[in-house]
Amino acid sequence: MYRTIPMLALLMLLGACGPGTTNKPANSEPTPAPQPAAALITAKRVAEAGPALAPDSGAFDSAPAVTVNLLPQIVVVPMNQKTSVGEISARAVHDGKWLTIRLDWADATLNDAPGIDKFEDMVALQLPRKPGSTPNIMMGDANNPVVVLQWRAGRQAAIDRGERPESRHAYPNMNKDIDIADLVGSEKGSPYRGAMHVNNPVSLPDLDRSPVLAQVAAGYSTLSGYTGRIAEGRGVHNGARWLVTIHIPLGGDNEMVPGLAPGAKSLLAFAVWDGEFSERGSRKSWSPNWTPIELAN
Amino acid sequence: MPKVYNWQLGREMDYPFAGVRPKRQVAMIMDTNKCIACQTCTVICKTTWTPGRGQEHMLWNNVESKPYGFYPLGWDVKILEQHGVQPLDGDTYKGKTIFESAPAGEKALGYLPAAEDYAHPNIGEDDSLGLMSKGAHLSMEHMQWMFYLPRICNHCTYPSCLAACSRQSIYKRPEDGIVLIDQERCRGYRECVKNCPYKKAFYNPVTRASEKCIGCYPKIEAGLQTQCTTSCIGKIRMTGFISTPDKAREDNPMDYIVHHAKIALPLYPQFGLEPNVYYIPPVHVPPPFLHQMFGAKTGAAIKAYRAAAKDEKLLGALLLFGATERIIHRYKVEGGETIGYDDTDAEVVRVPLREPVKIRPVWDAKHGAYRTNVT
Repeated sequence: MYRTIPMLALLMLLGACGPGTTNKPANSEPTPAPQPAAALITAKRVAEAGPALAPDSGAFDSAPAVTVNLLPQIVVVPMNQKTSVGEISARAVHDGKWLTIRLDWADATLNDAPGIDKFEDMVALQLPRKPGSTPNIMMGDANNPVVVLQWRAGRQAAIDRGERPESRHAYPNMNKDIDIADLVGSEKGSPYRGAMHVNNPVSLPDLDRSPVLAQVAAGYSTLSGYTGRIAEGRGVHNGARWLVTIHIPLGGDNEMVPGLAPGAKSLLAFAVWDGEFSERGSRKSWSPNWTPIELAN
Repeated sequence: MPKVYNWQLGREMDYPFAGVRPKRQVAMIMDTNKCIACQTCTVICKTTWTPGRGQEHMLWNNVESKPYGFYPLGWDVKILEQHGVQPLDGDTYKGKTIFESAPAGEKALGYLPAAEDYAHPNIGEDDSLGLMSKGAHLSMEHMQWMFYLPRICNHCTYPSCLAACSRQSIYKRPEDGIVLIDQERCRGYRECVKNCPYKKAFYNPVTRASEKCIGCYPKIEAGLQTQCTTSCIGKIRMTGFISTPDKAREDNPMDYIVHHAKIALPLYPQFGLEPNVYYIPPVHVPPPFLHQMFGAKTGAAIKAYRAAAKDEKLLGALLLFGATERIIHRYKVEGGETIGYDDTDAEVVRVPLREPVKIRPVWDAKHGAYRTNVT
């Protein structure tokens, strides 16, 4: 079901949102009431929190759930002024080696198939790259970069197929005459693979990639790929909801999100895309406030 | 929103970015009166640039029959319907562009085609407009009409694909004005596919990124005309560099045809992109249809085209079509010939304005036979 958030309500929320946000509507009377502090996500220590931990594992039941309200992204164009996902639930666990965030939201349709006019379901976590920093929530800023870990349903489906992407995966009954790679060999034919030839991370040039696309940003329109393998993930659709885990390695191995360790605090922001409604890029639901997270000792 | 000057509209218009024209602008002129829809251009473009996986539905160059041919299906009638009725008369366009008509939350008017819209690229081929009454027979002028419209990316001065890309993955090259999608940066959001009114940006479902006509830039860089131009058996095209009207040079064949003779017109200029492919309109098509498609100056363009045989300068420019693979930067008409020069001012082609004609007597005394038309 669509939710519509009036522009005024969003401006009030942005005006009152957390640290790092300074824009406040001029002559705004009455002053918006301060928002209650965002609930703290506490990552409970468990025995096993690595990629083997399934999204529907009972291990998450004991971790407190925090529900975060999502709004349609209506700050930058293009935008969908309506959005399909109004809230997302987050739980977290860690085992000293991995921090796992389990995300859970209502979505009646599974969208993971490739196609010219198809879009995939996705969810993203955003974290500050500098320990203790509070970046601008919209993709960070020049001094306070962020990392965006985006799990993609279509990416996961492609990896699960275990084959390099082919047209027949999108259109099994399509008639095809020739493929240039069949004529000239895969090496000479590689330039005809466009984005894949230049290792665009969305093209999944290698099947050993994670379904979680790691990207970094330092402000609007600066999102760029990171080729290192820093996060794992898994999504399960149960017919009514997505349950998605994003596993972030802790400790010195993880140069993208340094400082995450038992006892540490950080911030999380969320975004969800519903492929059924052609959501992609800036057409998304997002959390306009940071949500703090603490890793239990 | 910044204001930019669009000379095709004769006025300033809104555009999401400040207007910076390239140092020079690649352009193409196509004579629709000479096109026979043999699709040689389509095939050579396909085999040169899009024979890969995920590109099966892509035709960076296509030729469609108008009024019933479309690729993708209904591309122009759909955007025209969104755009609504706009006033087209006069030297200054008084209607709105697709940027000025953008719905809330969008950079421009647009729609995303369905996958099926690409399934029949030659739909409507040779279908003509008009009902045949009982007893109708061929007569002049024809009771029905259709024409062939070859299409590539227009490498617009104000591209809506570029404007719409939220990743800023699309750029217009300052050296030649060719519009390209950065294949490393594109994330396949398809805002370009949605917002190009000509539907000349395509999504590759295998690489998950969007692709488009690259204007054969390796050839342009080598001083050569594009593949679709040089393969054209009807010699309907010329690729070169065009100036803005205030800097038009009479000795540049592109400038002469577009700015001086004014016989070639942009496709749907009312969209506001200042497209850089120019069409010599078909002379036999009813004016209202051409008026909508090529703007208010169509009637004058056809009149001037019909008189081309009397204008040696214009004839000379038109005869350079298909005469050489090199890009012609300068030309002159001299001694009954048109002569083309490349960017180093070296002569690259020489074409007689009129083919020599030898009239032989009907009676061949040597062989003791009458010559007929078939000998």
